Amino acid sequence: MIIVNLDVVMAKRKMSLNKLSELTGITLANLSILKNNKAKAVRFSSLEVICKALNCQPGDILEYKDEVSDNEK
Amino acid sequence: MKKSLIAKIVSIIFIIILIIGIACLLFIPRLYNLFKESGVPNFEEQNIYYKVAFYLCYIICLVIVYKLRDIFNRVYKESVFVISVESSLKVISVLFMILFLIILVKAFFIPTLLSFAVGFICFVASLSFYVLAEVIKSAIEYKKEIDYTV
Repeated sequence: MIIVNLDVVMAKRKMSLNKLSELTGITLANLSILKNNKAKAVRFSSLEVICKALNCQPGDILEYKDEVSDNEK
Repeated sequence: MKKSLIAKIVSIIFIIILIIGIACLLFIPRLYNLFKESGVPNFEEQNIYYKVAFYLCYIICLVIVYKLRDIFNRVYKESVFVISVESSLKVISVLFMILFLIILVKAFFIPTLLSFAVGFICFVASLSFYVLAEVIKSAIEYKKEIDYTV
């Protein structure tokens, strides 16, 4: 499964959700969905503005975790 | 004409149909005798199975009208793509199928062209409502995906 580490990157940059919303133009509701790993899909355009605002790479925000190996643990 | 005005008018029509339908439930034998074809025995002379089937069909029709009113209200007040609309459509589909089966059994004992025609309409209506319910179900899933796309 894909994990969104937006909260981690935001914490590192010391940026609030409101500030990120202002910088990216993405609504707070949508950022919340993304932050809480409830998003079903992410547009490249959204990812681009988030990366730009947080000065990071998509790989910093998105992470792949094997569900099967997680369950075995 | 405004959307809300149409919704109100249709809602009132549904309520009137329901009230008349429930009121007529008390006078079914009289109404049956009044509108029956010549040569057909009176309601009182029919056997118990026929009477039960008749009342059952009548009540099923009332429930279908009630469900349609419910769907119509939801469609106008909220959104079409909600689970309650899907489940209501499936209930209507099942009710039409029950109607079809009752009419089929009736047509087996008293075969008339009208019975077959009404039975066929009920069968087609049942399938149509089922297909519509499945379409709404798929649409709900797509909507969910779009709603959660950032």
